[in-house]
Amino acid sequence: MAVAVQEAVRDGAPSAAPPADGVPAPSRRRWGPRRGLETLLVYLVMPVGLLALWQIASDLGWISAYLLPPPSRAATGFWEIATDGTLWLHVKASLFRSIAGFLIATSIAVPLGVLVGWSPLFRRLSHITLLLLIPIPITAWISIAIVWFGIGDASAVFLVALGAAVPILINTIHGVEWVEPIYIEAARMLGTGPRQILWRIVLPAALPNIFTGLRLGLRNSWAGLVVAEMIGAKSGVGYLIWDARLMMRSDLVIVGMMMVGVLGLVSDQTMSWLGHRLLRWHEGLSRND
Amino acid sequence: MIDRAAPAKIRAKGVAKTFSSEGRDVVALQPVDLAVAEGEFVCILGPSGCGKSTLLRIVAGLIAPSAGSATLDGRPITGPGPERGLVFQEYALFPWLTVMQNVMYGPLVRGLGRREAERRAKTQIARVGLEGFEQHFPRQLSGGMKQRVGIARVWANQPDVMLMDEPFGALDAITRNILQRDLLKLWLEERHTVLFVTHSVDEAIFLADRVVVMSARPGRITAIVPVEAPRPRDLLAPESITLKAELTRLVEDQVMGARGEPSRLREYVN
Ligand SMILES: Nc1ncnc2c1ncn2[C@@H]1O[C@H](COP(=O)(O)OP(=O)(O)O)[C@@H](O)[C@H]1O
Ligand SMILES: [Mg+2]
Repeated sequence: MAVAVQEAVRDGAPSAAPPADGVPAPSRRRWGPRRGLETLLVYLVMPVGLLALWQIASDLGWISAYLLPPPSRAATGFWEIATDGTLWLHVKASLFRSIAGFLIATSIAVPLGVLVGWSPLFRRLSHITLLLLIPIPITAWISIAIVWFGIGDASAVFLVALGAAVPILINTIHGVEWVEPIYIEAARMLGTGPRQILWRIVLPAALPNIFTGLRLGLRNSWAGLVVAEMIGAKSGVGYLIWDARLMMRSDLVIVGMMMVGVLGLVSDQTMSWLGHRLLRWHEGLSRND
Repeated sequence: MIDRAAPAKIRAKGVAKTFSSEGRDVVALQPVDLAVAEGEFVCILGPSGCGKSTLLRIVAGLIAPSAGSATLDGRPITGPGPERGLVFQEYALFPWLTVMQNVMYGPLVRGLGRREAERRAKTQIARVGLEGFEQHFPRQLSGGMKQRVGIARVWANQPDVMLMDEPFGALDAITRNILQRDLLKLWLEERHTVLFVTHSVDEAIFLADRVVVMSARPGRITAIVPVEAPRPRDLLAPESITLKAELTRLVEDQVMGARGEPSRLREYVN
């Protein structure tokens, strides 16, 4: 009964490619890496264009160099602290806090989210508490963080973890709570015991949501990091920005802000790459970026 | 064709179901009596919303009846179990598993070991004609192929009875015909007991030993019609057309609420 292939064609695929819906090959993505140079140029048009405009506007004197130093000044500033090693010191401190905080957040928020999402009792027990805690912005925690952990790494790690934990928790709860009941029914009909449902069905089914939570959590954690470093630390990119302002070095303020942008971009793309690897089966993640 | 004296494989006795949601009671199923013999292919035919899925899900053990009891081999059905394989209209494949892993799932989760699971999965994937697609994920398959996986996944568990809830209902007409033919061919090889829900008269005539006609909601069985013609059946043969007219009228009567002439084929249950 080798009818499957014909039928796939009949099911709506115009070509004779075996699976009707096709493997989502890179060629299907309009801006896939395969397009090479051309694609890269399209991606670069906006950032390069903006930098150029900014530089030109500064050269023409439309923007005060103190309020917004031109990119050339920022580049000189960058070179200055990059060569004397201070930049790397700050970046290293921030990276450590970010990674440590994120790992702590993941290891607490994912299991907690699974518990709350899976057990109706825990959901009810924690409901009001979570509703009260979630709206408190990360910045509001800085004072108590310094009281608890003092000035330094611990305060920053705490705020990063807190900033990351909230989206991770919310998305994990949501993913676990809203697993399609039909998967659970199918699994039970196939002989899955009640204890195995969580591991075999609920967790894999919730994984895309958990992953969204991780990615949003990582993005959210930079706010916590920068605020903590501005007020509660003597190193890190946040401290760099704060200190530069006190020294009237607005070029270094710009450099610090851009470093946050670069760190955020790199970490976000790393998560995205990881997501593609882990969630090949899931269409939601393979289409966009 | 059916030996009435043979003990029933599946038996429903006075099975009824009332759902209560938001304080309102919805009678989905009025008391139903049904016996399906070992090796018999029974189609439940009725308009949508008449309680076909409810009856099937009670036999599956996914919901408990409000009254009456369902038994398999004389033992009461108290919950879901792998000796009753359920095929869903929505396929319900696990999207995070490949075709191979989906079909291996049942044997694996029941502790038969990886080797045995692989052996069974390979056999069943070949039977449903999906060799070469083992490493595909469900989202890479067409609807027809998904349902082939759904059927292979259930067969890998070697169930005693197969419960199918409008398995081809979401497919286009051509794919549906191909799958009906293939299912019939495979069923003839093993002749497991099948309880198959459909709202298509053609499908019921093509597949069933007996067609159980259900009334519009609240559902009850209004007629049980044997289909005697030898398989494979030609739906354009005169006796098929007569039967089709008969069954169509029985079903439409239910939808219209009209009272037609008693049918000579009609075999009243209550
Ligand atoms: N879980 C439920 N809660 C409330 N009503 C339900 C539920 N399941 C089914 N029903 C109702 O019971 C009736 C029969 O449903 P169903 O068995 O799915 O019909 P069919 O499969 O014949 O289309 C419908 O009116 C439906 O709305
Ligand atoms: Mg139904």
